[in-house]
Amino acid sequence: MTDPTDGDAVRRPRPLVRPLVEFAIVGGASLFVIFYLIPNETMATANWGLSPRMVPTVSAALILGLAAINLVAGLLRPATVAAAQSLHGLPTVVALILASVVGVAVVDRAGLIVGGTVLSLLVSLSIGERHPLRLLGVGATSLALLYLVDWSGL
Amino acid sequence: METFLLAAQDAFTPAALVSVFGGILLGYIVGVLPGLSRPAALSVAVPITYSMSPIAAIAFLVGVTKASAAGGATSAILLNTPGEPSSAATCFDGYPLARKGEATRALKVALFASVFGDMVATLVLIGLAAPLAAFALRMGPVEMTAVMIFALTFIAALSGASLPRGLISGVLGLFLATVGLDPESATPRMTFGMVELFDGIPLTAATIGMLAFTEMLLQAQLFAERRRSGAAQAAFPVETDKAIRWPDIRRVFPTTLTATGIGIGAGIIPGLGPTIGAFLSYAINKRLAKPGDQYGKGDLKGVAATEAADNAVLPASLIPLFAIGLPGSVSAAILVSAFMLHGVQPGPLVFEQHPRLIYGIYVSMLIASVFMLLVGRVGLNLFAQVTRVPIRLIIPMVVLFCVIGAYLERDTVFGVFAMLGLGVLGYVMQRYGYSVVTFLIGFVVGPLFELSLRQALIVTNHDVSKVLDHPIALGFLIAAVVAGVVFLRPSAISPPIDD
Repeated sequence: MTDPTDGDAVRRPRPLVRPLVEFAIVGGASLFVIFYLIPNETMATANWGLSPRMVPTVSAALILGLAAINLVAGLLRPATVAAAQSLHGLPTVVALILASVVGVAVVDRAGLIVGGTVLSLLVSLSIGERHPLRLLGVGATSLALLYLVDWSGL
Repeated sequence: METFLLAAQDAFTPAALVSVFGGILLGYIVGVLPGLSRPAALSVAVPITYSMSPIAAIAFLVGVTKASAAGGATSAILLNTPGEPSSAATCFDGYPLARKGEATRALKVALFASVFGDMVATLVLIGLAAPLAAFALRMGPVEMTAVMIFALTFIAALSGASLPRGLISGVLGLFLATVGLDPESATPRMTFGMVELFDGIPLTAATIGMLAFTEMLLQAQLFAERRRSGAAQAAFPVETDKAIRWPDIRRVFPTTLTATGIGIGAGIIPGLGPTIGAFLSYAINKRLAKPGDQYGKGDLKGVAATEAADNAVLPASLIPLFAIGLPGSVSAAILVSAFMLHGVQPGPLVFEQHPRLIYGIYVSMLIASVFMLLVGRVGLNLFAQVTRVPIRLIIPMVVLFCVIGAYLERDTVFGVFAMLGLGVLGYVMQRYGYSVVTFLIGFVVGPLFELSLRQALIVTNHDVSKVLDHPIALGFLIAAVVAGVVFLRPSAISPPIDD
């Protein structure tokens, strides 16, 4: 796996609105977690140090603080930005995610063997595979693999 | 000496040798396939050993455990899909190496580092079990908290180009690790009334989703772009160099040695386990990188750093088990049941009551290391053929592996949906420069950190000054402060590159 933060960047002027939007998303999510999610979904106790809320709240507050630092750094430092990432291929990504979700729903309804085979076929179709023989090959291989897993008892 | 020779004789009987070999084969399969976890395979394998002699039974189980650790690297390197959570860190450099056309070299280094780490840790087990176990006994909650704080400081070292974003990712991992039942009070936290979330977000789903499914989304995007532009569609470039040469060995060996030491440490300290050991080793070795090293972009050192540590954990985790009866990892805990099944109670008396069996197990472990090398070396050429498979076939098969892996962990689709959700989150994070590596460190270390911290608060009665009564903890805290200062010094922080 390549870590994109380590990659070389093609540099161009940085729009100021980007750090603000980033802070709005990350900071907003942190505030939502601190003031809504944790109070409503986690029981409080008298002893803060031993409270189930302690680590989640501290974590969310840290994220908020770090997002603020990221905002200040983004606004003040003479940074440059990577070239806008290509949006080409994004429909394929969305199609792949949808195919996976539908496939998993079939796994839930019809079991791992049938659902898994359907999933692999849907994923193949989502990335543009249309050749019948290749689709047959993917389906047959998936079926054999899933039978092996089922047979092994694991 | 006579007992040792008799034990060696037991270990070299055909039944024991076949058991070890069978265990190695089964372990390799378990390791290669994502989701078939080592503890699950061990649990299934324990009843198989009912009819075996004690030494054959333990040798079989040791073979399963050792080979699953080594096999986990294969799918991590070739498909960016960790066969075991402990192999997740191997993806960071193994997969980029495969993408550069060095899959076989990466697989070889993973195998040799695994065998080396395993063998050295076994020798340490044989020679130093008793004194090292005494050290393990001194690791209480305060010491564990200090170790965890030390481990978490390495998030800063692995943050990539943007330190705040790297830290946000790490803390997000820590936060998501708190979902589920509270470890002290057992009250639900952010579970939305879903029973499936009581055990938290599944670790396998998180590692597979964040690494493998995310990578398949990125590959699908690249595939579509290439198809649009009419570029070549090969998943991996043709391998031109498959050999490991003397300069490679000389370069990688110190890293392997350091990683083995870290793995042994992680094995001796109960609770840390192979996943934390491998991540910690990767972080420390990346921090110790020399000019020219390319951690994160495909460096053989990165593969050696994680694999040697991962494989050193199991033999080392048997040190507290044999010496004081305290298992150092989940796998070691399952081995306890196997010992008891065959009438052996691990603990200080085991060397007096069953010396022949224990020495026989030692010899079997060394035999298992040799078999692991042989099986791995033969299988390596077969596994490397994956690089010839076109990407249009790899994507559906890896997504299927992801689903199988996440499904098998808990036998419900909940884990699969969690894997998909985290995969999408990982895709968005990668796209906007948030490190997935630091996220996983926070997520892996989080539960043990929280548990240790709260136990430490109880032990010290919320009095921080009582840390002074714990010299080991104090040592780790000082090391954490030093590491934090080193990692956060201005020259270590690159100017931010936004996307």
